[in-house]
Amino acid sequence: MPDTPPSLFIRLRDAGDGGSWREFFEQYWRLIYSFARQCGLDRHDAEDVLQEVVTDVFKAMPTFEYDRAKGTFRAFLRTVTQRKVADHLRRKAARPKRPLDAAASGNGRHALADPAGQAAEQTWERDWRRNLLQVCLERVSREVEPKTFQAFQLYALEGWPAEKTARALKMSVAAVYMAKSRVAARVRHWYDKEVNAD
Amino acid sequence: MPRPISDARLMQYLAGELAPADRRRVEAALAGSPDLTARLEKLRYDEDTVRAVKDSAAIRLPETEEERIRSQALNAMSKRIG
Repeated sequence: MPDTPPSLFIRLRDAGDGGSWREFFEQYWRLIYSFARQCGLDRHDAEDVLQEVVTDVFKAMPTFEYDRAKGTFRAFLRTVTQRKVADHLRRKAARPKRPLDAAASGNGRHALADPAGQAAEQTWERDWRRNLLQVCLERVSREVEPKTFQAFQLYALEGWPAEKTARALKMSVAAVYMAKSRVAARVRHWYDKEVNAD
Repeated sequence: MPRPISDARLMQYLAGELAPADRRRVEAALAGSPDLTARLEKLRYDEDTVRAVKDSAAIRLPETEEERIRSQALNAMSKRIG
């Protein structure tokens, strides 16, 4: 059976589809921005990297041939992002230090030494999973009843006791447990689907 | 005949929220029922997903900062791409 490219790929390849780059942006902006920051770019440069990566990927799509044997979309996006980050790091190293650099630089953690190095690759893989889970969670928040999602947030994510959650949302304790199970299963469904599509 | 064990009860079991007597009752039921064990495993998988979702929140920024970055980038990119 031939590999099926992600459906977003198909839409991105249709340059006339004005909504597709926004969908791409919404799905990946946190990942790209977070990676740039962890490589030591200040927030201004990280925002530039974000815009450049999304623009470049979007523009490359009409001629991009999806071939899973040559690599995943995850790896392709990482390569584009790493190049942009490296460009900005080179420019940053060459320019005189700005007075606000100290306040705006980094993200409170040690920057990755090399945006194309092994540590950066591991960071990208970890954050790819994190980003995808957050995207799937947002998707599920739109597909289930608001009360079901609230119960999941309060009980599963924020650690409220089931009874307190049930009282706050005027639902049964059993319904709180079921909300947790339902949302978790839907998140996993979308996550697995996206991973298999990559 | 003993009452069937609900998924809600199994989730309480996994969360360590059951009283000792109820816990023993669930464990006895699990020992004699592959179906119940399979249901428990499915719920345990849900727990793994919840843990992963909690961990994934580390990629988020404070909401106001996220909104600022997102809206600025969207505005700039609307001009670039259309």
